[in-house]
Amino acid sequence: MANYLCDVCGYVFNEDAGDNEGNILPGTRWEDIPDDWVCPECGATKDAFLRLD
Amino acid sequence: MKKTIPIGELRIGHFVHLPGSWLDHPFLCSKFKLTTSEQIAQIRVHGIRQVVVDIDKSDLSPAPQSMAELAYVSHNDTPVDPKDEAPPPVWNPEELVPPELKEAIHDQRMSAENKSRAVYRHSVQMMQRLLEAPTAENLRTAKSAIHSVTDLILNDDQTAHNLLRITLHDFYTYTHSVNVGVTSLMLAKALFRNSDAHDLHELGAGFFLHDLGKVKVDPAIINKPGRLTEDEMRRMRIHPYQGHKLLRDADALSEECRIVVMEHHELMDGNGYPKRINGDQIHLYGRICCIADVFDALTAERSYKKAMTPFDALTLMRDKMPNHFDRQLFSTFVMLYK
Repeated sequence: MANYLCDVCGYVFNEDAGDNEGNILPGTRWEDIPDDWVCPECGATKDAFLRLD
Repeated sequence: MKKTIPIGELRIGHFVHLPGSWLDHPFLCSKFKLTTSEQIAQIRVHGIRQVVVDIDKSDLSPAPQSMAELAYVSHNDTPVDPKDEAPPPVWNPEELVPPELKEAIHDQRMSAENKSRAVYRHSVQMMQRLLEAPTAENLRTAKSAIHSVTDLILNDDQTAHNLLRITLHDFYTYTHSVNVGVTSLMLAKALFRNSDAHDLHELGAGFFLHDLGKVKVDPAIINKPGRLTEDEMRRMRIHPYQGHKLLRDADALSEECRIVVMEHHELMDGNGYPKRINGDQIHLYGRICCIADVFDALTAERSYKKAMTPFDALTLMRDKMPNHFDRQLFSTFVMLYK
């Protein structure tokens, strides 16, 4: 499972953990997150995120 | 210009005037420029708590020259050791608004100058209390007080212009919210004078509360005097969205005014944050607040950086940040300082 870094505020989205506030269930893959989801910390859109390897 | 500052704010490059005669301290002369950190330590050892600094003779960092440099300038000046900080008092809605604020607003006999000074001082006090206790009830109470300040700015031109002038001379913590509130509202007043399509009272509340989300940023970052690191800067960038969420959860302000809070760091060329939207995608209210916010950051003085005159700040914004602001709004903004 991959992690994604918000390039605006440094928040890390973890696919295993999901995002409770944004109704993203644990285990949801990045590709399956809707485009209107925003960073729970700063409100940045999905395209501000970088995949961490 | 001379300024008395606490010992904790002294920096190498400050030109100091030490109190007392040369017999009272280990230096040959009472007036000199600090060149080493040992000198600051010696002043401290001698029990001196405050010194007068001659800002004009000091070597301070130049004022920032670009948006990138400006981003690292904090709004705070006085370093506070968390150990020394008293626990924040618990403000409830009854005590939030200083009674003097309402008295000053409604006093018919007060001169415009005294009125603006009183309104300013007590607005700052209210914003300070609100940021210490940003509960839903306090947000609603503050909003109604800002409503009265907005009335004053819209209807009493003389007091409004005095208020605008004060914003250029007061640089400390919590004052930034009031400065940007007054300045944005003056721009909105100039723009919407002949229009009834805008609710300036709602909008005024949005302007005063634009930095509300900073209550969700680590106080160690908020209270840091001086330049922020890249990581600290990233953490600061959560404040527009966090402020928007606080207002949404408190059900305070209309959505279009909450957008002021959300979009005041977006830039016309798309290089702002958090959504990196550009041009007309940014709400008009967000574009107004952005201009006032940058202007206040440039004209503010900190012990570690120089302040700019309004003229220099406007020139810099025009020449060095040409794609950041809405040109038409900026032209109107410049006219406020003619």
